[in-house]
Amino acid sequence: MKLLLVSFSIGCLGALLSLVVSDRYRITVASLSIIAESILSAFASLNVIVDEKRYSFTATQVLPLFGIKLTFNSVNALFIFITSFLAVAIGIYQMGYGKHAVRAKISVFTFPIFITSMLLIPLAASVVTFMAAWELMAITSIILVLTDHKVNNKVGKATQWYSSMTHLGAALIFLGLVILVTATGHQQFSLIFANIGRVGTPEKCIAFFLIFLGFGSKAGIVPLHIWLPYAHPQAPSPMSAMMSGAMVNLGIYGIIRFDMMLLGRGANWWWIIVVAVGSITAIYGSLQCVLNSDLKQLLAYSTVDNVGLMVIGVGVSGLLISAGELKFASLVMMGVFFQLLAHSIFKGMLFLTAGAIQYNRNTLSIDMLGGLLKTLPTISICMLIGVGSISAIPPFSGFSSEFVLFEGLFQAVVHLSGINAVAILMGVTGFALAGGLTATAFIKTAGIALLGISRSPKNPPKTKIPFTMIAGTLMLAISCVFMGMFPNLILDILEKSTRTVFAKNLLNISGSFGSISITGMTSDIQVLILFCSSIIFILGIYGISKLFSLRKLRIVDSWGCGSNYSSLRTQYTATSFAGPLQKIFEDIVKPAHDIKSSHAEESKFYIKSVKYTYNFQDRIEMVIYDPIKRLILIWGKVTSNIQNGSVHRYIAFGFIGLLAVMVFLT
Amino acid sequence: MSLFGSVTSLLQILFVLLMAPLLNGIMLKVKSRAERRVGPPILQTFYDLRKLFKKETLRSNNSTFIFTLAPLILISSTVVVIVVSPIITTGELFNGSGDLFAIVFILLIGSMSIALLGLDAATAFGGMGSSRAATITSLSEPALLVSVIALSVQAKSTNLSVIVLGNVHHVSWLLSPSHILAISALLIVIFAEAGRLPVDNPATHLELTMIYEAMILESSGENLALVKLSEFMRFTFLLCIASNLFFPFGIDSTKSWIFIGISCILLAIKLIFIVGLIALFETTQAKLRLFRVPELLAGAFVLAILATISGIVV
Amino acid sequence: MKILDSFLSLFKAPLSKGISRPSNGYHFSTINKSLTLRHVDVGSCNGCEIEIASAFNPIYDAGRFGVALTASPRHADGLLVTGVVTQNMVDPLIKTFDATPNPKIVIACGDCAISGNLFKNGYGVKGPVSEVLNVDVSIMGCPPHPIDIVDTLRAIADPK
Ligand code: SF4
Repeated sequence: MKLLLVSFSIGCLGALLSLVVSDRYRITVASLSIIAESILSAFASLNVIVDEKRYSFTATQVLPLFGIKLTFNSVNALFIFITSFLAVAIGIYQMGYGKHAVRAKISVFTFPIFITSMLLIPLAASVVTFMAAWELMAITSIILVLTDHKVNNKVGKATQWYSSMTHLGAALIFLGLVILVTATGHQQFSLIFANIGRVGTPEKCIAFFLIFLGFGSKAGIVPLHIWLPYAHPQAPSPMSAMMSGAMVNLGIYGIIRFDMMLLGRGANWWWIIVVAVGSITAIYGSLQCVLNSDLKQLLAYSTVDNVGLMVIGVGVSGLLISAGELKFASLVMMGVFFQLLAHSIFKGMLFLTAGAIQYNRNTLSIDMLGGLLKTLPTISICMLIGVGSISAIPPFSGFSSEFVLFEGLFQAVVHLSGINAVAILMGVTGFALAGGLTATAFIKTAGIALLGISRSPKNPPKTKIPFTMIAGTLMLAISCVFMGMFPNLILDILEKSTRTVFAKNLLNISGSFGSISITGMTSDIQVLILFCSSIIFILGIYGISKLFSLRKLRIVDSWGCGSNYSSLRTQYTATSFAGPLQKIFEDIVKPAHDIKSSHAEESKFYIKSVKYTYNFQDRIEMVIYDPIKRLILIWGKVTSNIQNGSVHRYIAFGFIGLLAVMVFLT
Repeated sequence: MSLFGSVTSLLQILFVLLMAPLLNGIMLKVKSRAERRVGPPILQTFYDLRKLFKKETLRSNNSTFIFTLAPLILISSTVVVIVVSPIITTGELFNGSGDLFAIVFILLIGSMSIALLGLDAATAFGGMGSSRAATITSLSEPALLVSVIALSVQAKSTNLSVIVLGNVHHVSWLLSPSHILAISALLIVIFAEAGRLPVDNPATHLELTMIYEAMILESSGENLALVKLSEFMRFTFLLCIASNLFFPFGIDSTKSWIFIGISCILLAIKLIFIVGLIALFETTQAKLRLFRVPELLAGAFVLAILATISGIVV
Repeated sequence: MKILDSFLSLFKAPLSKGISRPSNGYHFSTINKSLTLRHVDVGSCNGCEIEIASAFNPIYDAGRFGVALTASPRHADGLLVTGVVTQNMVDPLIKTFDATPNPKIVIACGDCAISGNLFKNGYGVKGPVSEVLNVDVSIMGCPPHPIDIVDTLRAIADPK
């Protein structure tokens, strides 16, 4: 615990120091403080998880009236560990990236504080502490999104979306918690939990859904996901990696911590709704992800998709709890934790690679990329690893995590009956559809961006990628492979956190080194052995085929059907790659096509130029948010008539108000 | 790691390796016969592969290491799933790893690597093939995953060996509506994944109508041979799994050597029978338009969901 | 090996009608019972194409000797060239030839491809195929009869 507090103070100190030092060292100072802070807190949290320790800390003087209350146990230690592990890599990455790309002084200063606030949130043990940390995170992250506002005009819109959604979420969470506080009369979580019996059922339901929606908006459940694809891409890459990799986790943390652990086992329809929302989120997110062709926006949508999977898992776990199947509930929960961990790391890494690509190529549109495997080999291989992870193929981390989650869902299908089983089937449907679409989306990303040749006609000046950027990305890539190949080590750690959630020892990690095997699961996958044997197969088959073949290799031009074409524009692009899917799901996404052709003056039969525009917007934004925006505008117009700045009118208002009060009082 | 397990795993690989080209030859022969032609000899696929291994390999100057690696990954992922699944015996090596979910995702490695291969050489047709194949994969994958659940519900296990053994011991499972629905979903998915009619025409020569062929237009020599061989092997593997799930009798569950021999022969007969039926079916089919394929796969998806529901309810 | 091959080819030449010279690295040992061809139309009147199509139909069925047509020269063992080479097709023909992995064979199918036929000195005509590539095998006729085509292809694919 002390270690953790020391690490926080290092973070804040580093932030302050970065304001003082000269421009040249600013980024380095900030990044070093991030690295130091996160290494310390990673160690502290790992220590807590492994030893299953429990600490609490109270500082009454810090916040007026209520003071700060923190607890540190192996559940929140897991979240702290994820955040800080990611932050180490991002700190390293930022040292290289920030030198040129992050110019705003304030962002450099804010970033360590943002990370500190994210480390603080899971620790909070009372409502006030929690809300304070939450607001700190909200404000710092808004500043980070605003970083590039001078060069990029999309930032304004993104920040508007982000700040309104995040405050809406905070308000919902606050309301939900306030209901609990007023019903129980305590604001410390442990006391709320002890007195949860005093909360009536309707209040419980309202609190549950308020908290779910509030945290859901941070996590990005549909239809509250709308800010993700705006805000995540606009922040500089280290920051968006942090937001997509770690901040989103806190939404899930909130759902687990408050809805599941605090409110206890609720009615099963709560969780059925959660599963339904989760599966809609997963499907919608992956669909948008497939169709998108902006690298960072695509990644943001894939975050929505992954959040959907986790929400499905949380919902199924809750269903199993309310049905009394605690063993399988904890299996599913373990899957959720694994998915959280895996997702943070591979998504963080993919954002870092996106940043590196932007750094080198100056564009994020996949339609303009290509051939990066030849120009940026290390970054590209990292990206391939990330793609493998996210598509859940062995031996990468995504496979292990989704495997545990899937086994949990399967056990839930087998062990529940009636409406609950059908609800879980809904979750399975979401899981399955999202899985297929995600794989396609990332075949597209990797295939178009890394392979082939560059699709942009003019090559921007090649900037060399600094070593630290590669190192940060590589660190995450290696841990993706590590988590995939030695899942038993990770499961050992996760099991401890799961045990704390359920306050019971329900699962047993058996099985040999490098395998996934948990009691309650029906198979044990020996990922490591399978991987090694497939390497042997690859080498063996390569050797045999070399033995048989004439050992001749000739380098030729690509086959262009005999014509002299330059394959620059004849290659498939990301948009055309997703063309069939876009046509298949046309009813859902409703893209806007427009073909404009101009004719030659002599005759309209001669076409001078044809311009095809294609544009697709988030459908949910159009259907749900646009009317709301319009309503708000109308409301604004109405009120501006009332408040037109004329002093006379205000005096009149004051007079009427006073009169009304007096009449009312008498 | 028992001796039995290792030897039978090798046997399984050999079995699929030899059966795959043979089955393709048989299919071609049956199809030709149905069209009233003599058709190529049954061993034609072997001849083709032998020739391709002897030929020179061309590599595009735009390509990367993916170009060489992808076929190897494809074939070795196929070999790995063959090792872990019960094909001629339920006592194979790495018994516990023969999980249906894992198999689905190991097969996905192959699909992904071949889709990347299509994009590697910067040609238009390669990208077109990859795009179409990825589209089909993205729709068949969900159907496959849900039918995995449907197939596993009765045995309460996703381990393929356990399911197959359960099917051997409980004949009533085989005729339950859940099982039949799940198998039909699985068959549709197999047709889509293996690029057979009505999803894709393996005999087409027109680039614009190709799906799977288009991705490998750029490969030649041994690369091509590896890709073709592993595609035949994947198809054979999927058929083996389908036949073991649908009609498992004859598969060795006693771990005795004699039974292994019998099971090899029986499985070969079963496969030849299935393949003959498929060939006859294909002669009556025309290729579906690409945008009709999702309807077919959505059908498979719905079948799989129905199968799961009936598995839970019954 | 090479001597043996050429010796064998001498020995087998009479069996297959039109084999002129095995010059493009064409080995009997490689193309054995399996011959995949890429058809290139360099300026044909489509008479030859109709006959080639007939050669692969159920009646003549060239497929039974392991002969097949393919869409990509990368998969092919040779080119089946029809028609007189027009100026515009010189480059594509050479490109297709380059795109075919060794060992490969060039078959000139039809009189146009062999000699230029009546288009020989026509406008925009480069000449017969032999002006651009080394032709290994010729199939005579205007258009050649499917039986001739099948016969030649068979002789190449299955020289025994
Ligand atoms: S040889 Fe005769 S049939 Fe063939 S292309 Fe020439 S003119 Fe036409």
